[in-house]
Amino acid sequence: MTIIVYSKGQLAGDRMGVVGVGRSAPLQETVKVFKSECGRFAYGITGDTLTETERLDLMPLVFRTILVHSVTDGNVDMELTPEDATALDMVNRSIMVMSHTRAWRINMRKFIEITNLDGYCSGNGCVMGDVCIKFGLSAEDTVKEVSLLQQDCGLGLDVVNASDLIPLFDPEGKGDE
Amino acid sequence: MSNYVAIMDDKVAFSNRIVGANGTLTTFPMDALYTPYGFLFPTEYTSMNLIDYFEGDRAPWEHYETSVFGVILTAQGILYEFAEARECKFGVLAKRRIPYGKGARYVRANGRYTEERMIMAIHLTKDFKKAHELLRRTSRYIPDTQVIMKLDDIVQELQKRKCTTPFPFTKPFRVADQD
Repeated sequence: MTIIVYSKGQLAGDRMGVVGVGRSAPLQETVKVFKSECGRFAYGITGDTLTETERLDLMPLVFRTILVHSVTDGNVDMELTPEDATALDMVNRSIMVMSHTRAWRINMRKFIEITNLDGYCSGNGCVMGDVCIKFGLSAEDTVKEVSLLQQDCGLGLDVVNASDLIPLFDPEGKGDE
Repeated sequence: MSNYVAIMDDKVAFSNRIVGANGTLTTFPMDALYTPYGFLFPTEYTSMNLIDYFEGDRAPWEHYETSVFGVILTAQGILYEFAEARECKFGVLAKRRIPYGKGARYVRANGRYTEERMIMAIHLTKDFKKAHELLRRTSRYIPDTQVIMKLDDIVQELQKRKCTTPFPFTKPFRVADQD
């Protein structure tokens, strides 16, 4: 019940969530796109709603993605161990990570750089999202349009712009202020 | 390949070029789509088997990802989609009447993803040709050609050709012609 979109330096996601399963499950506003407290990266998570503690359990994976990719210009063929994938429920989940200048998708033990794509959509609104991206919409507008037509998406919108993030490696030390 | 039938207001878009199970492209002649029961918009390679079904043939046929076998516009100007009835054995069709006219937006396809893509493409472009181009930029399974027609023109042609044979069913919603 999600649409999370990265496109051209913008990460956006809806807030549709449910409590429990089945058609009678009540809806719940669920934030899926977060800006890190340090302000250096943002991330969006699909899959079952996480508690804050569970979300923190995913952070080593996010850090690992950022760190490994930060020392290379290209995509890195990284893989989670099957044990990690199971423990973090990554089989049913994907994470999009955005830094000041780059973005990646982590899914099913694969780490893929998505910085230079037209855009990348995740969640069950992703197919409609792909059409919006090819039409030229921004990540934010894509989430809005998909929320209109896909009954599993909506309830709110969260947007983070890469331009608002602090560079990972800030030579002037502004990030430490 | 994933074929769609899309309706926007009083117009319909579809393709008569269909890829079969072995991957070869087949072009259904437009004349063949004027069947005795109405105009058949094919959603997949086996859509024409609906005619056999109406004529009493209950041999099972293969169908693909979704259960929509085809969409038929009758000479009376009524649009129906035919799908495999859920929770029933093969050979039981669900018949659903679909309204069209000003404000209508309808898409069925051989593949849920194609339906979702086309629904969004129509929403964004409000133009069949542009929607088709957009669709082909997002999926490799979309036919290369698109036919756009006015539904009223098809109805007139059906009447001219005397394609007026009623469906061999009497039940109005779910057709359960159990043998």
